[in-house]
Amino acid sequence: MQRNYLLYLAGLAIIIGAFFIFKPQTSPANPPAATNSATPTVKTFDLVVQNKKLVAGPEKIEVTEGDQVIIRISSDTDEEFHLHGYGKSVTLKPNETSALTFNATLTGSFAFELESSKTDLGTVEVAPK
Amino acid sequence: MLTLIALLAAPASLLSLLIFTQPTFAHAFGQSFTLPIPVWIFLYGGAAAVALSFLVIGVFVGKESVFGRVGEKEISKISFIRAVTSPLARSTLRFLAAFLFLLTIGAGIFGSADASVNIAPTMFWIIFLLGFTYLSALVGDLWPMVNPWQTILTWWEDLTGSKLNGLWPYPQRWGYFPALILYYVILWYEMLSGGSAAQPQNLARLLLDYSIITFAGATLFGVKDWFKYGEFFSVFFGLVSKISIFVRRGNKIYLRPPFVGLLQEKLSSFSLLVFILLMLSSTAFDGFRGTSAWFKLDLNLFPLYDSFGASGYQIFQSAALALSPFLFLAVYLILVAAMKMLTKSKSRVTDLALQFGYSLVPIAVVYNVAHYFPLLLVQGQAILPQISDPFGLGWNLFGTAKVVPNVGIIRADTTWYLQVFFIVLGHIAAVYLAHVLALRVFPRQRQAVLSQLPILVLMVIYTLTGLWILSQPFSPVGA
Repeated sequence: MQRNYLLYLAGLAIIIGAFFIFKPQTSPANPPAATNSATPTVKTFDLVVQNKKLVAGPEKIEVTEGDQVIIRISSDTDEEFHLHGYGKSVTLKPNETSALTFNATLTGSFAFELESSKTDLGTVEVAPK
Repeated sequence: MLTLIALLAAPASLLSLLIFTQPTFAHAFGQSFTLPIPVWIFLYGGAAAVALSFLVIGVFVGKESVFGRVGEKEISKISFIRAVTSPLARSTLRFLAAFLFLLTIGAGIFGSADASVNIAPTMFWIIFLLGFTYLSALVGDLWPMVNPWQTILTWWEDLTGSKLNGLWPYPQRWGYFPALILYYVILWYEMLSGGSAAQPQNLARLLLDYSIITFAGATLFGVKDWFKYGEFFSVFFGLVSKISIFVRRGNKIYLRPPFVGLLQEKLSSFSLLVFILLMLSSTAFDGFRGTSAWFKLDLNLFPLYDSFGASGYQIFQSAALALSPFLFLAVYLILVAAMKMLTKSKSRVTDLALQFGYSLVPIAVVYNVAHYFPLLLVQGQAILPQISDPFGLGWNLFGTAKVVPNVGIIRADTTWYLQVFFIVLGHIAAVYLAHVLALRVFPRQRQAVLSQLPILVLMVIYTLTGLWILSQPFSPVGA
């Protein structure tokens, strides 16, 4: 029985030990944000939609938890721009630039789409801090 | 005669949906918002799995070991267990399950066509297919007790006063082949129907077709054999529940260590081995086709798809899903052959493959959990508003119709840690089971130890494949 407990301890040691060996010390992207947490980083992205397709701007918008995110979209047709998960929408008008602003509080991968025509455009990936 | 017509009509009707569904590339049903696991967690999981495997093998060498001898403990006498397994509790559960089954079909037929407000898609694809799987893993084989098809057939037998013993004996050489085929069809609808099986009406039709097949199978071959070999959910939940710490024998309930339910017998049929591998490969397939690696492959293959016409893409995906278990099977058989060589065993490769087959179940189950539990947690919440308004008609039966699901219920990093935890846990369980099996199969200790090397390589390959897929960046959705 003694031996079994030693075994469990060894197993636990491997699980926990390896975790700290592999876990990066600090995520390099973050230190400035951590010291400065009162003023969140603002990240702005510009998307251009033509003919219901994304013609300029990132398909994958990568931000970090806590960032203030501004997505500016210009479209050549009337549409509704919708971000899943956050449940945010903004109306698009031809040849006008609309902006969708949100605080990246939820971590994960969230698709954005043109709501009226159900066209997927891309995703916002919010990485944990 | 009616049965024969039904038997022919149901597959034909399934087939009609199969062929005429155009790929729409709509959202797959439900979103879980997970992120790919970071590279360091992938490496950590892989390293932990390998290190722990050697620990398990090294320490247990030559012993039937800790769990193997603990055995079962009867718990039926405990008053709580007596209460939850009383005839009243059981018939309540059975009635509830039959009610939810009919509600799902009814909502599909008569409810709103909008999948997000109709209860049917969430109830079947999320709560039942994922939730009941995990429930079976935790509390054991509930399914035979609540299986609505079985309930309906029992009612029918009571009503007519005659038992459905089948017109013919079930052909034993079919093994679990009917359940395997039905599994493929359900997976196909889940993954490759372009979202059409998430449409309430299509789902109701699918369930009705499945019911016809089940009733026809039970009529032709008898309730007992069809629910053993042909009814997909009975086979699936039966396998999953073998990892549970609870088991029922006769009227008694026993407590046992986790996973040891898989040590009781060898696989009875090759079709069951392919079934287990399809559990593993279909999850891998579903994960892999969302990655950018698959996307790049797709871009290169598009000319080939096109040469097969408008449905070329869907045809290729369907073939890939159908072939996926055989890819895992090939790896398995190669390593079992290596085992035979190392141990100089006289058994045939196929026989050894069946001997060790059940040890793959933990890997298949945990990979399913790791892949889909975020979907259950996030999308499953939709059941709260839907249960108050199952048909999507604006009702509010329980006052929950306006509940807004909390999509941030689980953080992305918590999800990663749980995913890697489940996968490593399943890996260790599988290595442990294979080890105990080896001690039974190979009488000499040296053989038993040698046999572990190829098995270990196999488990590491399966586990790393699973982790690797979870770590892959997603493909661009707008493409």
